[in-house]
Amino acid sequence: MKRRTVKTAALYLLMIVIALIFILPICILFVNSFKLSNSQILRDMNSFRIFLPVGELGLNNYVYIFERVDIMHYFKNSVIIFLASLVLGAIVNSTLGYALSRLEFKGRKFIISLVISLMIIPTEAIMIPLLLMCHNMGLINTLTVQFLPFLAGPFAIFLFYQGFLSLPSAIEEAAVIDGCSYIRIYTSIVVPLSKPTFVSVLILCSLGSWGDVLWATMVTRGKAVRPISVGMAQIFQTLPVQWGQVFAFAVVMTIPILLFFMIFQKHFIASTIASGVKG
Amino acid sequence: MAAPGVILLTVFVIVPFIFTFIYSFTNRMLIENPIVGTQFVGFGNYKSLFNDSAFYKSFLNNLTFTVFEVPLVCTLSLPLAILVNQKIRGVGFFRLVYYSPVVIPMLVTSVMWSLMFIPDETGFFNSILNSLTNGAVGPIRWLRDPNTAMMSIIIMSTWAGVGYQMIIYLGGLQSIPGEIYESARIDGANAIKTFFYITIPQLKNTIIFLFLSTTVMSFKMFTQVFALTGGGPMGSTSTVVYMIYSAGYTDQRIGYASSIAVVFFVVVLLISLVQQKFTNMEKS
Repeated sequence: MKRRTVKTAALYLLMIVIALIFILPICILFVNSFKLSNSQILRDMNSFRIFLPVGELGLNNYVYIFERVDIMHYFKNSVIIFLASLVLGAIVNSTLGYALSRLEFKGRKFIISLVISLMIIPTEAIMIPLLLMCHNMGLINTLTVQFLPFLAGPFAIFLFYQGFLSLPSAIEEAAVIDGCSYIRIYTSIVVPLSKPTFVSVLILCSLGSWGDVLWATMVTRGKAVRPISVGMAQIFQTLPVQWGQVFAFAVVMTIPILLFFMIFQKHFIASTIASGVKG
Repeated sequence: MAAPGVILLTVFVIVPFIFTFIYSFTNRMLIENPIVGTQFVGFGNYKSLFNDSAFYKSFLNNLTFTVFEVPLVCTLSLPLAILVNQKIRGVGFFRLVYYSPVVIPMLVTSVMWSLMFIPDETGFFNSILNSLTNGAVGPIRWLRDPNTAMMSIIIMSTWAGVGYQMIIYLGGLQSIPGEIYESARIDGANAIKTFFYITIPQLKNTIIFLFLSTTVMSFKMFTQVFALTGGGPMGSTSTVVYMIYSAGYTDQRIGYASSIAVVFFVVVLLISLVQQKFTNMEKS
């Protein structure tokens, strides 16, 4: 008995030490956002004081980013982009996925193979002409350009397609016989039955927009439609770096995602595994 | 019903994809020269590209990053997955904690780590090194030293990414039937034998899949470089995607950037095809 207890204790100890490796850097972010003196932060770097809330503490850094840096404006922009990606992406990708899985029409097989082959194309490879195209369409420096090009995602479409295929079609067939339009079948029957698929796929698709800094940097100018990621890059690259303020900014940028993650953990895990078995 | 999806796909994926190839044969700039316009330059961009040492350096950097980060992330995550697969109290908490760096935006992760990477003796990692080795190992300049910059990014990216592979391994571990382990135990196999003769073979598909897909993901690396080093010092952290950004956006050389993008796409395609081959082999 004693041997098993020692073994379990050692196991917990190991897991806690590993957990610390993952938590401590994140602690640095939170703890130091409350420290008011930049030079103190730099001095604390020398020891474990960097993880501890010591020294002058206060909310000044947060006050600064809310009042002087206008972080809520960037936050609002990011939220709009995120919600647009989520809702519109859901509609666009799931309808195509549904059409491909249920409806018979010419070219259906072709489009399915097309979608599968398009999955290989990395966004980074088509970004440049996309930039030029949006430039010519006059979309630069709008909120729209930050989500519109990415609404239709081959991977999301494919996941929806697979998800719908696995739904038994009996109910839908009965509804067709009763004269229901496909759109009604879709909204009243299929969607409610596939909630888990929706959540997993959508998490996968919309989260990218929050942390994306590549596309956002390329298509925004100035503050009007700047998302929080670009704001973060900006304040971080303004020298000399005021770490307290930078960390406060980072905390505000991270907390929503972290919360989102804690609430939807099961779905995060499910969508990670879904993306894992796609092959 | 399929219309919106198909239209959006065509306009925003297929068309730009085709244009990447087309532009790569021109000298297109973002804003066209009003007098001369854009000209067809054949393989001119590619010739410059393959004579550009910055391109080879970037490609090499990508290889360095991939060669270290992918094995690190794909092997360290397996023991982690085994640890969090145990039926002990509180294991859910550990799973969350180990996975949480994946959720944090890479930009924020870079900001966090840049403080720890401060190059002089006051930096966190340097202080630790100092106390652990009693001053024998001098302050490392991490991101400011061409020899250590990429390695710093690799370490950070491994920390940030390992939870992802861990979860996928976890899924794989949980689909191994318990009876196999039972019969091994009855046959007297110890933990190590079980690991090498049962766990790993059962996970073979997952392992191969993870190595290949992580390789593809690692090739797209950009945010860390953008936030921390801007490709330096001395081009030691520049990556192919960073070059695409820098040529296409900063320098507005659409044509040249497109040629880099084409090469990038071909490499990703090759790796993806290898991955497809393996998956199909397994299925048959």
